[in-house]
Amino acid sequence: MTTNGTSAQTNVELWSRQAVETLSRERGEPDWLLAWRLEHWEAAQRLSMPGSRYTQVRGLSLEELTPAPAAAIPGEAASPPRPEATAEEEGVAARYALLDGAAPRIERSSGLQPKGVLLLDVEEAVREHPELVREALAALPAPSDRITALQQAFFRHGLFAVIPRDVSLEEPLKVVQEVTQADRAAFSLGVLIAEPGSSVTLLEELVSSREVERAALHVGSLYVRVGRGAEVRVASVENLPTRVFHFARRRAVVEADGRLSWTLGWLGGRLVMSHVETVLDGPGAEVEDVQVFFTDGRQHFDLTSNLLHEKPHTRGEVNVKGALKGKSKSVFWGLIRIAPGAQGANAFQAERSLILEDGPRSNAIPSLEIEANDVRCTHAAATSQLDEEQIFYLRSRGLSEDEAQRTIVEGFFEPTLEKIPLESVRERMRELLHRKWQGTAGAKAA
Amino acid sequence: MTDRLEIRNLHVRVEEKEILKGLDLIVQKGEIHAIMGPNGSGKSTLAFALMGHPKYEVTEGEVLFKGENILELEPDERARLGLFLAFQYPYEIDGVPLSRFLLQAIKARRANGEKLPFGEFRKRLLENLKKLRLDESFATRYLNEGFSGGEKKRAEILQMLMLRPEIAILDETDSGLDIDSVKIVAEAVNALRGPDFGCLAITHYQRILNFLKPDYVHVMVDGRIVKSGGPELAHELEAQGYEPLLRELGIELEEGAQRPSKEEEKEGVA
Repeated sequence: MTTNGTSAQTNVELWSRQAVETLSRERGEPDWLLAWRLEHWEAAQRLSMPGSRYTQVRGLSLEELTPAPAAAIPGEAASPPRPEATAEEEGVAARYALLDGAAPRIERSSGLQPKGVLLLDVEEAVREHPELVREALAALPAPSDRITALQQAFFRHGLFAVIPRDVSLEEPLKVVQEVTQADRAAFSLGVLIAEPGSSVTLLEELVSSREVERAALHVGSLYVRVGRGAEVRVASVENLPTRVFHFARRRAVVEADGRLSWTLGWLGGRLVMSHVETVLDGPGAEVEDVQVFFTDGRQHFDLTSNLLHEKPHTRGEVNVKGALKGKSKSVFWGLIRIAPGAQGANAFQAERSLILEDGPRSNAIPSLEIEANDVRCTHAAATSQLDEEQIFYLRSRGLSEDEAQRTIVEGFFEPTLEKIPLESVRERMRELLHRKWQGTAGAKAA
Repeated sequence: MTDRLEIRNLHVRVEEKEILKGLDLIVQKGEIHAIMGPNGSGKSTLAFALMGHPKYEVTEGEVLFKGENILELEPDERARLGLFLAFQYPYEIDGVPLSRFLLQAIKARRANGEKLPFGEFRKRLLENLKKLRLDESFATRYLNEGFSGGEKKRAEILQMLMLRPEIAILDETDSGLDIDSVKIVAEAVNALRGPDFGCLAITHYQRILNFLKPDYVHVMVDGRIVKSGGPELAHELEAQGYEPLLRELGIELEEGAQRPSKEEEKEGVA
């Protein structure tokens, strides 16, 4: 089990029921967690791979992958590279880093302790606060595909954070996940509980310090609870290497008068399947979901954003914008569901994509399930192409063809980028989009 | 020789149809030329062909500027050489603030690395906005996005003032403007008047010429310049329309080609 697992026989064992039992026992987990893992292992045996008629998972064979191990494999880095600046110098409340789904490292700034913020790796959280972890896991929806089920059976790490009642964290929590190993399945399971009246920002980065030479799998999930009147901002930038298959599930439950903002930037990876679901579970709950993507080559992004308005006077706004080059594909699934009795709900959802060459395909599949009669609900989807007349107009002012196109593309993103609540994330996205345009994004580290 | 735009026997096709049929014209720097003509005579085709629009195919002729046949240059190369086109229907570019775009375009024209200090840029921008009676906040708006017809035309002239071309082509910059706006635009063009600036103003109506005061007026019909003269020619056309001139020259307009009239002029005033 210390090899990188090139033998198919060995790898089948690595994905077995026994492997789940061993993992759980070695970590000294309580029985309920082992049972939870095994339940998902069973589910994985009958569930199929995620997909639809627009998206099929091709070129990824689980049997050829090794789940992230408990300890570093000899010859590999034992821990994520340590940034030069300390958490304090970087201006973050804490940093949490994972390398290929393993070797978690947490750095806390000195200001964090007195506020009573709970910040642990999920393995530690299971030991120290099992009841909290159990409650959070119970809130996850049953997996509907094999990948998610396997992640829940085999996960080892992830950030577990609880922001106490009425505590405002001025500086963000930062999570950096690196994917550097081919043939590896890296899982992470994160939990963020913002108790009533609290406020917190979570910055996530999915990056790599190098290109990965063969397929690798990264599956990340995040569960967020936004308590009554709490305010949570989650911003994530995904810039994984081009052979990585990335599956992301994010689910949030927002209680009365709670406010949540998602900012998701998608740039890297071979196949990205992202599922964001926000349950607006109390009157006055609000969510804003801004997603920006840029695909090229043979990338395929399948993005879902579901707004579930369960209670009256809830407000949801989704803005997704993407540009496509090469032979890439994108699919956007947007659901707005307004439950019976959720009067006064206000939902807006828009997806726009810009196709830059002849090769790419982009689809948007919006759906509405409205069961209340006094609601406002708007959705729009549009796909457009670069306009030759616009390009000529800009060239007539002296811009080269490339610069004219880049100006139009960056302008296309700009109004959506301006909706990003965090200046640093906005700037980072601008920079990454610019680099992607120049064809240098993808494998570069943050 | 180098200080003029020289158009020789220009033939241009658009979608297989020949629109310009051998056009000759010389615009010296320091001069303002007006081109008038009925609709469908090829005025806008001339503007687009000079700027290098990819859909306008030059089948014959040359256009010389600064010793180069600019027909062999890309649109942006022509712009960097000192040519400017004020569009009749400027395009809206979402997400690109006007001021940032101006800075980018000025930079693109100074490929040799010559710098324009930001303070200097800002000073010029504010001066030119003022000349065009535009508010400072105008420059923070996205390029032409949601601009009224009149604002778009003024934004074109603002770009011209900022980019300081050597030869500017104005494609019906006056159409769709009320009389006050026509005056503002014409005054802004006049401000550039001098030995380093030449202008080719394409217009359907005589009224802008009252303010612009061209040195030469040309009449274009069916893809050619059929008559050239001084400012008096514009007044003649204003008073009598194109028909007497066409009769005199023995030209018959194709069916459907419209002529300017007082009625139409009123419609054109938004």
